[in-house]
Amino acid sequence: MKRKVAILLVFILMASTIFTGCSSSKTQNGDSSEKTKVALVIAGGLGDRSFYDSAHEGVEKAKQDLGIEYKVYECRNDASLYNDQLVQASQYASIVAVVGYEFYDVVQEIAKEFPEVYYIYVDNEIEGIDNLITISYAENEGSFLAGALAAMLTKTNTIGMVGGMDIPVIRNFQVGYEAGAKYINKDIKVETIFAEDFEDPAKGKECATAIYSRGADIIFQVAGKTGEGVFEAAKEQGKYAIGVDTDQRYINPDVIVASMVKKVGQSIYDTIIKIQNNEIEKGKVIYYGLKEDGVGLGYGTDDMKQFVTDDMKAKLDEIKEMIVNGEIEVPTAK
Amino acid sequence: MAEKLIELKNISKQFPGVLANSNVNLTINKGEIHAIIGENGAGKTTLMNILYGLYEPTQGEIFIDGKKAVIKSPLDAIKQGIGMVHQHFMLLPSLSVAENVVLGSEPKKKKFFMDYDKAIEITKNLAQKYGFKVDPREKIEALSVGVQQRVEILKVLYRGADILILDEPTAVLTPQETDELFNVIRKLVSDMNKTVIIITHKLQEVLAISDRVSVMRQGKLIGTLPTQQADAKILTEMMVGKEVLFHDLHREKVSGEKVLEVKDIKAKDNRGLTVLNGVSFSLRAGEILGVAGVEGNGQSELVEVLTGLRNLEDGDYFINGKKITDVNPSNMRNLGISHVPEDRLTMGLSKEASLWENLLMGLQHKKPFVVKKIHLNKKKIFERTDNLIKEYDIRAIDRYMKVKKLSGGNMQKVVIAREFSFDSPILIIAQPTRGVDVGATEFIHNQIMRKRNEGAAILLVSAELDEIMRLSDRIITIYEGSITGEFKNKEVTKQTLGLYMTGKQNKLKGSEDN
Amino acid sequence: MREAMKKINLSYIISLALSIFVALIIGALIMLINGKSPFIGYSALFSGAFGSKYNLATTFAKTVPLVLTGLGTAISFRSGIFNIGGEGQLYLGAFAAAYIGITFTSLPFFIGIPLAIIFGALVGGLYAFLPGILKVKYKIDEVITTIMLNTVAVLFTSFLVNYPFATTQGKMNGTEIIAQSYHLRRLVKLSTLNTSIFFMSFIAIVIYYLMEKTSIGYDFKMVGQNRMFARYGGINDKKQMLIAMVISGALCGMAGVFEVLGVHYRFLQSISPGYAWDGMLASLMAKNNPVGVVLMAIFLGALKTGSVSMENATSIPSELVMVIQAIIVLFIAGEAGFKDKFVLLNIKRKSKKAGETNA
Repeated sequence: MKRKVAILLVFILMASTIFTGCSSSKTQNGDSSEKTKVALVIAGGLGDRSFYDSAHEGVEKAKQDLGIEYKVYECRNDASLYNDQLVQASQYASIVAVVGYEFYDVVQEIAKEFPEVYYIYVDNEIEGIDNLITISYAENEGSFLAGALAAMLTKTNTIGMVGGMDIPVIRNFQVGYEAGAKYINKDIKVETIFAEDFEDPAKGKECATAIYSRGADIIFQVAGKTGEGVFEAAKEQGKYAIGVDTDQRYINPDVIVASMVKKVGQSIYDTIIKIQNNEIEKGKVIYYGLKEDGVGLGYGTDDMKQFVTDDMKAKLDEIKEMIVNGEIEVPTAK
Repeated sequence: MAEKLIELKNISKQFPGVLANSNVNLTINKGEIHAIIGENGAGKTTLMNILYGLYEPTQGEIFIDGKKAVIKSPLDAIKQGIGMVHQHFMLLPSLSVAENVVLGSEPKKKKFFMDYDKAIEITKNLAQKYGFKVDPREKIEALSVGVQQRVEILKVLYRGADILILDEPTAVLTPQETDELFNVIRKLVSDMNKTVIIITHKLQEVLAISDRVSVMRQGKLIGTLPTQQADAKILTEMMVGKEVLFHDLHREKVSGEKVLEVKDIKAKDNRGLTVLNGVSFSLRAGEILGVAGVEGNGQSELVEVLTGLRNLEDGDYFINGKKITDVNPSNMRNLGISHVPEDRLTMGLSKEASLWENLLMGLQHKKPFVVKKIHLNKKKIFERTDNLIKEYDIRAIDRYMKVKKLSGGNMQKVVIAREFSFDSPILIIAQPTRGVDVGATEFIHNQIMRKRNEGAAILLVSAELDEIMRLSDRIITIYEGSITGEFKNKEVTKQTLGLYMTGKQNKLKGSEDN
Repeated sequence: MREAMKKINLSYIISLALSIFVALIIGALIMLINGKSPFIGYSALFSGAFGSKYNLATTFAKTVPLVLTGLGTAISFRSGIFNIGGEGQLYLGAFAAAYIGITFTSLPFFIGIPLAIIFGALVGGLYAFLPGILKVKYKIDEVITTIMLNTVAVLFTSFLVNYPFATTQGKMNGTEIIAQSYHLRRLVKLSTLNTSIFFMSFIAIVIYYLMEKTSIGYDFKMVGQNRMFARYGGINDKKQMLIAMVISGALCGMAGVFEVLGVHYRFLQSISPGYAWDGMLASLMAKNNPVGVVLMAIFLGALKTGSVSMENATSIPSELVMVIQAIIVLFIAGEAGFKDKFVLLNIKRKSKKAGETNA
């Protein structure tokens, strides 16, 4: 009995750590109270060097350039906190940036309760609520380019992808990625595994190792923090990876050849400006695709070793043009 | 006059609600075997735990070699040369003998690592010196209880103890192992100049081994006397405070119907080996049938089969002439069987539960203790609990007291009280007085006899021949899962029974006197 | 009253309170090391948990699933069978309720809601029955099987909500929203506290009654304390263990049901942030005593709610509460030793006093 209880307690400890993200200092209090207050509410936690950090960069930039002050409200993937954090954020700020498809229900409810607050909702589409602007990214378009790049780089004719969860947003990446690869090479094999977790690098590594062992030599990670495990696996196996959301090349420029950038921070920043200038169309969805430069590929900085040749870049630009023109129609999972 | 080694002066120990020791003055001489004897709960173990530093006395002083000693922890005691072997061994079963012996002050290699080879050597030398037969490499879990005890003693000797305290050392030993232990103790004292304090409640052992004996009762030291001047009667009187004689019990002539009968029953033990190999007997109302046998010859399994706790593999089982097909505990209880199990702690009680919960078992689904199908009627339950506590003289603070806090004798009284209160026509009783002091034994024997005189059919299994011979009307002997003989009590001697119990003689199944 | 007092394990309550106190002190030290004032931190934590009607409501909203999973754990542990599968049962129960809510959309609330609760409890109970029967029939360790079945349930429901039952509205890894008639009413504006707290209170009273006042509870307890004794006394130990397991699973299932009917209004892929584990902690802290479970659940709910507010107000990370909880867990693990030390300390002090008066 005693022994069993001890084992259980260990499990409780382990379970509680699962919901523990890492945390950085979040409050950036300004001196004047007349500054516009912005709240950033995220479904996960900061420190993913990806999606949420990108959003954080956006508000940080707004603080530098526009002199706003802001606070970050992290939910650490705890569904029971979505409502509470959004309420607290709404009580604090006049503009609330909400990042994560998970807020779909609560943001609609809460936005109605705080009509004087503007909500910028990223990662899902909601129309018809006056004080709610949603930003939707054409992940499939960006991923199309990533797929095309992977197909150009592979020597084994097999490429891979590690998805965070088998959910619509991630599948939208997946269909674009596959279509892009097939556009370059009809017979290419694409191996995809979903890690079922956005916060666990160990799982990401496991998935990536499995995909590499099936013959792939380049993997597109779409798994937030979990993706860091993909980079690690790539390093150990001497293979390559493509980053996501932000330009992740800096994490390890020797294995990360490029990143599919979703300019979350930039779009939040742009929207804050529009709200301040009263240029916003109420209750609308703003689309950020290749055309709007909301998604794209990032190749890191010039001092890094470049794997993508100028020829490849030219070819990718060409594809991008064709997508913008509508000559190539990218499939969507929505 | 012998040289004084330890003097305990005016020791008192107060526990919440209990004065465990009260002004105890005790002197231990150098090189003697000193027995401390008393009923369960008399304060023997508490006193020795104080000497060993496990408890701090509420008041009083300890002198060793005439100097005042401050013993605040077992470490202090060890420094003073005092070592204790507890009733429940403190060994790690998955480690070897040598590792256990040196545990706590291991020989070190490079400061941090235990030197295993050296530990083996130390243990071997130690064992040789004291004449113990143990293999230092053997795992503790593979050893018999007697050998484990020797390892405990070795461990104490390794720490350099000159004074050994043994708490109830024979409680878990077979008679042969007890003899061996006594030889070891004698050798330690005569050849090695050690002093031994032995705590026990068995009179025969005191008389057999000790030089002097101190008797404790209710926390007080009643007296110390040289063993030559003592006998069982004197010591018993000192222990219980009144003269207890194992006088003959009043036996009324009760003739009865045959209420229980088994024919050729067979059963297997937990390992799947056949341990009951065709046992037949019958039991009448108003008689006590004693089952005599050396432990491990199938008595335990016989009791379990009869009470439905073990599968009946083969044979017929009748109660009141009706054949029982569905043998399970609940059914057997409903058919009127009460059971005092051989081991009260593993089966007869729940230590963690309160007195009232322990006394309720078996009645929790019966009116008037439950109303509206499931609601426990606490008023009725408590009424019955308090009556039983009074009737069976169970010494407890109140009905909420956890059973684990009772002494062994009082625990056994809880089991007896519960099972006897059902007024079942059949009582199956195993080892009713094992580990129970003299006073409680007398009480329990009287209760069993009362039940018999009231007309209950009683099957009594006991390892104590004296008990069987005192209580039984008839006696059957069991050997290797078969009945070897059947006797009327008073017509048989201990010696004869011994021959049948060990299989040296066998009447086989021819003697059923129906 | 005096009778009731006698049953309370006072020394354990003291040692638990002491554990919590020491954990809070360590938490305060951590704050100090990080240059934060523990006074401000803890007052933010306290007011975050109890400071306003909204905060209080949020605390109680968090308590509902903890009480249910905690009682589920308590009833199984007390019966000597260890249901560690609460999380899985919660997920399946939640999905079952959502399934009713999106399938039988035209049922009136007074039929629909009970139906969803019962179906969710049934599914949770059945999911616990499986490891239960494996345990009593084949002696397969229930700790292992229930832990593994957690993963099975989480992944299975994840498949269901992403494929056959995926919502078509927006990008969500959840089912469709359940019909309006199934929504439990919210009680305090902005907070997710809803009428499930009444259901929970009722269930808690029933479980308390069952565990403490009935012959069934008595049988559970005896089987858990000493299985041999229970068998010997005529209790069908295997049956009791199985019943306890099923009740435990049903309670955990209901915890999931109320998350769907009262909080999210749909099944979400990660609907529980480990409620069953926190519930288990509540149960262990309370030594499987039903009243204690409720109190500990409120305590843990308050810690959780308060920690988030504390983080927002003072930028002391809410993970600090994880540290505090972990320390409490360690203390409970070493409870026996800790309690003995405490008693020893007490006796020592008393004997010292006695010595002084003597001198």
